[in-house]
Amino acid sequence: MAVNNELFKGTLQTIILNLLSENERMYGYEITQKVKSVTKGELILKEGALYPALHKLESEGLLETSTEIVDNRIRKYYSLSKNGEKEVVNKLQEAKDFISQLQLLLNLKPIS
Amino acid sequence: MTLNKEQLLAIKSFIEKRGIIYLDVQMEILDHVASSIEEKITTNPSLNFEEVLKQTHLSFGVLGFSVIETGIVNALSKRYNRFFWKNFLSFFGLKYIPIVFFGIFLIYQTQLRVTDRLEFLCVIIFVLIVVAFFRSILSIRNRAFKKLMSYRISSTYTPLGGVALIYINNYLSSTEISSPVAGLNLSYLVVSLLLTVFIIYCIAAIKTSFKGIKESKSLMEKYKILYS
Repeated sequence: MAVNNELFKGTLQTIILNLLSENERMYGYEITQKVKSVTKGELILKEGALYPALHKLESEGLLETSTEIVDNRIRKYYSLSKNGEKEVVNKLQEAKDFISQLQLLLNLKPIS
Repeated sequence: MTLNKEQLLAIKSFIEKRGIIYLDVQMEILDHVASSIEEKITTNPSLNFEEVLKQTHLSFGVLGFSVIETGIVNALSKRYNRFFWKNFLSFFGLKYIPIVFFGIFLIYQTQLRVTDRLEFLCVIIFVLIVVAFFRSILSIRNRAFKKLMSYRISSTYTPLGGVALIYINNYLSSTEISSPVAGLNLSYLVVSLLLTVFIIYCIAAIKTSFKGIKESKSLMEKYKILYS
Protein backbone atom coordinates (compact mmCIF):
# COMPACT_ATOMS: atom_id res chain seq x y z
CA MET A 1 0.00 0.00 0.00
CA ALA A 2 1.43 3.37 -1.03
CA VAL A 3 1.91 5.98 1.68
CA ASN A 4 0.10 9.31 1.30
CA ASN A 5 2.82 11.78 0.35
CA GLU A 6 1.04 14.58 2.23
CA LEU A 7 1.92 12.79 5.46
CA PHE A 8 5.67 13.04 4.99
CA LYS A 9 5.86 16.65 3.78
CA GLY A 10 6.31 17.89 7.35
CA THR A 11 9.32 15.66 7.87
CA LEU A 12 10.93 16.23 4.48
CA GLN A 13 13.72 18.41 5.83
CA THR A 14 14.51 15.81 8.50
CA ILE A 15 14.62 13.08 5.83
CA ILE A 16 17.03 15.13 3.67
CA LEU A 17 19.28 16.02 6.61
CA ASN A 18 19.36 12.40 7.75
CA LEU A 19 20.19 11.09 4.26
CA LEU A 20 23.04 13.59 3.99
CA SER A 21 24.38 12.64 7.42
CA GLU A 22 24.54 9.02 6.22
CA ASN A 23 25.90 9.72 2.72
CA GLU A 24 28.24 12.69 3.17
CA ARG A 25 27.19 14.36 -0.11
CA MET A 26 24.36 13.77 -2.59
CA TYR A 27 22.87 15.42 -5.68
CA GLY A 28 19.17 16.18 -6.19
CA TYR A 29 18.19 13.23 -8.35
CA GLU A 30 20.17 10.85 -6.14
CA ILE A 31 18.08 11.93 -3.13
CA THR A 32 14.79 11.17 -4.93
CA GLN A 33 16.11 7.72 -5.91
CA LYS A 34 17.39 6.99 -2.41
CA VAL A 35 13.99 7.76 -0.88
CA LYS A 36 12.35 5.53 -3.50
CA SER A 37 14.74 2.60 -2.90
CA VAL A 38 14.74 2.78 0.93
CA THR A 39 10.92 2.82 1.02
CA LYS A 40 10.72 0.21 -1.79
CA GLY A 41 8.75 2.64 -3.96
CA GLU A 42 6.16 3.44 -1.26
CA LEU A 43 7.28 7.07 -1.02
CA ILE A 44 7.90 9.13 -4.14
CA LEU A 45 9.76 12.37 -3.54
CA LYS A 46 8.67 14.77 -6.29
CA GLU A 47 11.00 17.44 -7.69
CA GLY A 48 8.45 20.11 -6.79
CA ALA A 49 8.84 19.18 -3.11
CA LEU A 50 12.53 18.23 -3.02
CA TYR A 51 14.14 21.38 -4.45
CA PRO A 52 12.25 23.97 -2.38
CA ALA A 53 13.20 21.94 0.73
CA LEU A 54 16.85 21.64 -0.35
CA HIS A 55 17.13 25.35 -1.15
CA LYS A 56 15.41 26.30 2.11
CA LEU A 57 17.93 24.22 4.08
CA GLU A 58 20.74 25.83 2.07
CA SER A 59 19.42 29.34 2.75
CA GLU A 60 19.24 28.54 6.47
CA GLY A 61 22.92 27.62 6.36
CA LEU A 62 22.30 23.95 7.17
CA LEU A 63 23.59 22.71 3.80
CA GLU A 64 26.67 23.51 1.74
CA THR A 65 27.05 22.99 -1.99
CA SER A 66 29.85 22.14 -4.38
CA THR A 67 29.93 21.52 -8.14
CA GLU A 68 31.74 18.96 -10.26
CA ILE A 69 31.79 17.93 -13.90
CA VAL A 70 30.20 14.47 -14.23
CA ASP A 71 29.15 12.80 -17.53
CA ASN A 72 29.57 15.99 -19.59
CA ARG A 73 27.45 18.14 -17.30
CA ILE A 74 27.85 20.14 -14.11
CA ARG A 75 26.52 18.41 -11.01
CA LYS A 76 25.64 20.23 -7.80
CA TYR A 77 26.29 18.25 -4.63
CA TYR A 78 24.68 19.00 -1.27
CA SER A 79 26.34 18.22 2.04
CA LEU A 80 25.75 19.09 5.69
CA SER A 81 27.33 22.27 7.03
CA LYS A 82 28.63 22.35 10.61
CA ASN A 83 25.29 23.81 11.71
CA GLY A 84 23.50 21.13 9.69
CA GLU A 85 25.42 18.38 11.52
CA LYS A 86 24.17 19.76 14.84
CA GLU A 87 20.63 20.32 13.56
CA VAL A 88 20.19 16.76 12.25
CA VAL A 89 20.38 15.42 15.83
CA ASN A 90 17.65 17.85 16.99
CA LYS A 91 15.44 17.18 13.98
CA LEU A 92 15.68 13.39 14.45
CA GLN A 93 14.77 13.70 18.11
CA GLU A 94 11.81 15.93 17.21
CA ALA A 95 10.62 13.36 14.65
CA LYS A 96 10.96 10.49 17.18
CA ASP A 97 8.98 12.43 19.80
CA PHE A 98 6.31 13.27 17.24
CA ILE A 99 5.96 9.62 16.16
CA SER A 100 5.62 8.54 19.83
CA GLN A 101 2.84 11.09 20.32
CA LEU A 102 1.09 9.93 17.15
CA GLN A 103 1.21 6.33 18.34
CA LEU A 104 -0.49 7.40 21.56
CA LEU A 105 -3.07 9.59 19.84
CA LEU A 106 -4.01 7.07 17.16
CA ASN A 107 -3.79 4.01 19.44
CA LEU A 108 -1.11 2.47 17.24
CA LYS A 109 1.21 -0.26 18.47
CA PRO A 110 4.91 0.62 18.10
CA ILE A 111 6.58 -1.25 15.24
CA SER A 112 8.94 -3.79 16.80
CA MET B 1 23.30 4.50 -20.39
CA THR B 2 24.86 7.96 -20.55
CA LEU B 3 23.43 10.79 -22.65
CA ASN B 4 25.65 12.19 -25.40
CA LYS B 5 26.56 15.87 -25.88
CA GLU B 6 23.84 16.47 -28.51
CA GLN B 7 21.17 15.10 -26.17
CA LEU B 8 22.46 17.25 -23.30
CA LEU B 9 22.35 20.30 -25.58
CA ALA B 10 18.77 19.39 -26.53
CA ILE B 11 17.84 19.34 -22.81
CA LYS B 12 19.60 22.69 -22.30
CA SER B 13 17.65 24.21 -25.18
CA PHE B 14 14.38 22.70 -23.80
CA ILE B 15 15.07 24.34 -20.41
CA GLU B 16 15.94 27.71 -22.02
CA LYS B 17 12.70 27.68 -24.02
CA ARG B 18 10.83 27.43 -20.72
CA GLY B 19 12.24 30.77 -19.59
CA ILE B 20 15.17 29.60 -17.45
CA ILE B 21 17.97 31.90 -18.61
CA TYR B 22 20.54 31.83 -15.79
CA LEU B 23 23.28 29.25 -16.32
CA ASP B 24 23.59 28.14 -12.68
CA VAL B 25 19.83 27.48 -12.55
CA GLN B 26 19.92 25.66 -15.89
CA MET B 27 22.82 23.55 -14.66
CA GLU B 28 20.94 22.12 -11.68
CA ILE B 29 17.81 21.39 -13.73
CA LEU B 30 19.83 19.88 -16.58
CA ASP B 31 21.62 17.40 -14.32
CA HIS B 32 18.35 16.30 -12.70
CA VAL B 33 16.53 15.90 -16.03
CA ALA B 34 19.50 14.10 -17.64
CA SER B 35 19.88 11.70 -14.67
CA SER B 36 16.17 10.92 -14.80
CA ILE B 37 16.19 10.27 -18.58
CA GLU B 38 19.29 8.07 -18.30
CA GLU B 39 17.67 5.95 -15.61
CA LYS B 40 14.41 5.55 -17.54
CA ILE B 41 16.12 4.63 -20.82
CA THR B 42 18.45 2.20 -19.02
CA THR B 43 15.40 0.45 -17.54
CA ASN B 44 13.52 0.49 -20.84
CA PRO B 45 15.85 0.99 -23.88
CA SER B 46 12.92 1.17 -26.31
CA LEU B 47 11.83 4.56 -24.86
CA ASN B 48 12.14 7.64 -27.03
CA PHE B 49 14.45 10.43 -25.76
CA GLU B 50 12.05 13.32 -26.59
CA GLU B 51 9.10 11.54 -24.98
CA VAL B 52 11.02 10.84 -21.77
CA LEU B 53 12.20 14.48 -21.71
CA LYS B 54 8.57 15.69 -21.78
CA GLN B 55 7.57 13.16 -19.09
CA THR B 56 10.40 14.33 -16.83
CA HIS B 57 9.35 17.95 -17.30
CA LEU B 58 5.80 17.03 -16.25
CA SER B 59 7.13 15.42 -13.05
CA PHE B 60 8.19 18.91 -11.88
CA GLY B 61 4.50 19.73 -11.39
CA VAL B 62 2.32 22.58 -12.61
CA LEU B 63 4.92 25.26 -11.88
CA GLY B 64 7.53 23.41 -13.95
CA PHE B 65 11.19 24.39 -13.66
CA SER B 66 10.35 27.72 -12.02
CA VAL B 67 10.14 25.87 -8.67
CA ILE B 68 13.91 25.34 -8.84
CA GLU B 69 14.58 28.90 -10.01
CA THR B 70 12.57 30.42 -7.15
CA GLY B 71 14.31 28.16 -4.64
CA ILE B 72 17.78 29.07 -5.94
CA VAL B 73 16.99 32.82 -5.89
CA ASN B 74 15.76 32.60 -2.27
CA ALA B 75 18.71 30.49 -1.14
CA LEU B 76 21.30 32.74 -2.80
CA SER B 77 19.63 35.94 -1.54
CA LYS B 78 19.62 34.70 2.04
CA ARG B 79 23.18 33.33 1.82
CA TYR B 80 24.69 36.57 0.46
CA ASN B 81 22.53 38.63 2.81
CA ARG B 82 23.93 36.70 5.77
CA PHE B 83 27.48 37.16 4.47
CA PHE B 84 26.92 40.91 3.91
CA TRP B 85 25.53 41.60 7.41
CA LYS B 86 28.17 39.41 9.07
CA ASN B 87 30.85 41.55 7.41
CA PHE B 88 29.05 44.83 8.13
CA LEU B 89 28.54 44.05 11.82
CA SER B 90 32.09 42.71 12.23
CA PHE B 91 33.33 46.35 12.10
CA PHE B 92 31.51 47.05 15.34
CA GLY B 93 33.26 44.22 17.17
CA LEU B 94 36.37 44.54 19.35
CA LYS B 95 38.75 43.82 16.45
CA TYR B 96 37.81 46.75 14.19
CA ILE B 97 36.17 49.28 16.51
CA PRO B 98 39.44 51.25 17.07
CA ILE B 99 39.74 51.63 13.25
CA VAL B 100 36.10 52.78 13.05
CA PHE B 101 36.73 55.46 15.71
CA PHE B 102 39.91 56.49 13.92
CA GLY B 103 37.87 56.83 10.68
CA ILE B 104 35.31 59.06 12.44
CA PHE B 105 38.16 61.15 13.90
CA LEU B 106 39.83 61.48 10.48
CA ILE B 107 36.64 62.64 8.72
CA TYR B 108 35.92 65.05 11.57
CA GLN B 109 39.41 66.53 11.32
CA THR B 110 39.07 66.86 7.53
CA GLN B 111 35.86 68.87 8.03
CA LEU B 112 37.63 71.16 10.50
CA ARG B 113 40.28 71.89 7.90
CA VAL B 114 37.95 72.09 4.90
CA THR B 115 35.41 74.50 6.41
CA ASP B 116 33.65 75.30 3.12
CA ARG B 117 30.73 72.81 3.01
CA LEU B 118 30.61 72.85 -0.77
CA GLU B 119 34.32 72.12 -0.94
CA PHE B 120 33.85 69.18 1.44
CA LEU B 121 30.95 67.86 -0.66
CA CYS B 122 33.20 68.09 -3.74
CA VAL B 123 35.80 65.91 -1.96
CA ILE B 124 33.11 63.26 -1.24
CA ILE B 125 31.80 63.39 -4.82
CA PHE B 126 35.34 63.01 -6.17
CA VAL B 127 35.93 59.90 -3.99
CA LEU B 128 32.60 58.46 -5.16
CA ILE B 129 33.41 59.08 -8.82
CA VAL B 130 36.70 57.18 -8.33
CA VAL B 131 34.80 54.30 -6.63
CA ALA B 132 32.15 54.31 -9.41
CA PHE B 133 34.90 54.25 -12.04
CA PHE B 134 36.55 51.15 -10.53
CA ARG B 135 33.15 49.54 -10.09
CA SER B 136 32.41 50.06 -13.80
CA ILE B 137 35.76 48.50 -14.76
CA LEU B 138 34.98 45.53 -12.52
CA SER B 139 31.52 45.22 -14.06
CA ILE B 140 32.92 45.25 -17.62
CA ARG B 141 35.60 42.70 -16.70
CA ASN B 142 33.00 40.36 -15.20
CA ARG B 143 30.26 40.89 -17.78
CA ALA B 144 30.32 37.18 -18.69
CA PHE B 145 29.15 36.37 -15.14
CA LYS B 146 25.91 38.32 -15.68
CA LYS B 147 24.47 35.07 -17.01
CA LEU B 148 24.83 33.64 -13.48
CA MET B 149 22.22 34.20 -10.80
CA SER B 150 24.89 34.04 -8.07
CA TYR B 151 26.77 37.01 -9.60
CA ARG B 152 23.65 39.12 -10.07
CA ILE B 153 22.45 38.60 -6.50
CA SER B 154 25.87 39.12 -4.87
CA SER B 155 26.38 42.42 -6.71
CA THR B 156 23.03 43.95 -5.76
CA TYR B 157 24.37 45.52 -2.56
CA THR B 158 26.75 48.04 -4.14
CA PRO B 159 24.23 50.36 -5.90
CA LEU B 160 22.24 50.64 -2.66
CA GLY B 161 25.19 52.58 -1.25
CA GLY B 162 24.02 55.58 -3.25
CA VAL B 163 20.97 55.87 -0.98
CA ALA B 164 23.25 56.64 1.96
CA LEU B 165 24.98 59.32 -0.10
CA ILE B 166 21.67 61.08 -0.78
CA TYR B 167 21.04 61.31 2.98
CA ILE B 168 24.52 62.65 3.65
CA ASN B 169 24.14 65.17 0.85
CA ASN B 170 20.77 66.30 2.24
CA TYR B 171 22.26 66.65 5.70
CA LEU B 172 25.24 68.65 4.46
CA SER B 173 23.12 71.07 2.49
CA SER B 174 20.38 71.56 5.08
CA THR B 175 22.29 71.72 8.37
CA GLU B 176 23.53 74.94 9.83
CA ILE B 177 26.78 74.79 11.78
CA SER B 178 25.55 74.38 15.32
CA SER B 179 27.09 75.54 18.55
CA PRO B 180 29.71 73.16 20.04
CA VAL B 181 28.57 70.29 22.31
CA ALA B 182 31.32 69.15 24.72
CA GLY B 183 33.76 71.04 22.54
CA LEU B 184 32.63 69.22 19.39
CA ASN B 185 30.79 70.55 16.36
CA LEU B 186 27.61 68.45 16.29
CA SER B 187 26.93 68.65 12.56
CA TYR B 188 30.55 67.70 11.74
CA LEU B 189 30.24 64.75 14.13
CA VAL B 190 26.98 63.51 12.56
CA VAL B 191 28.45 63.74 9.06
CA SER B 192 31.59 61.88 10.26
CA LEU B 193 29.44 59.10 11.72
CA LEU B 194 27.24 58.83 8.61
CA LEU B 195 30.21 58.76 6.26
CA THR B 196 31.99 56.11 8.34
CA VAL B 197 28.89 53.88 8.33
CA PHE B 198 28.57 54.50 4.60
CA ILE B 199 32.21 53.44 4.04
CA ILE B 200 31.67 50.29 6.16
CA TYR B 201 28.56 49.54 4.09
CA CYS B 202 30.59 49.88 0.88
CA ILE B 203 33.36 47.60 2.19
CA ALA B 204 30.80 44.91 3.15
CA ALA B 205 29.08 45.29 -0.24
CA ILE B 206 32.39 44.98 -2.12
CA LYS B 207 33.38 41.90 -0.09
CA THR B 208 29.99 40.30 -0.87
CA SER B 209 30.42 41.15 -4.53
CA PHE B 210 33.93 39.61 -4.57
CA LYS B 211 32.59 36.43 -2.98
CA GLY B 212 29.98 36.24 -5.76
CA ILE B 213 32.67 36.84 -8.41
CA LYS B 214 34.86 34.10 -6.93
CA GLU B 215 32.02 31.58 -6.92
CA SER B 216 30.85 32.62 -10.39
CA LYS B 217 34.39 32.31 -11.76
CA SER B 218 34.73 28.75 -10.49
CA LEU B 219 31.39 27.78 -12.05
CA MET B 220 32.12 29.57 -15.32
CA GLU B 221 35.43 27.73 -15.71
CA LYS B 222 33.60 24.40 -15.54
CA TYR B 223 30.92 25.70 -17.90
CA LYS B 224 33.54 26.76 -20.46
CA ILE B 225 35.18 23.32 -20.36
CA LEU B 226 31.84 21.81 -21.38
CA TYR B 227 30.49 24.36 -23.83
CA SER B 228 33.46 26.09 -25.51
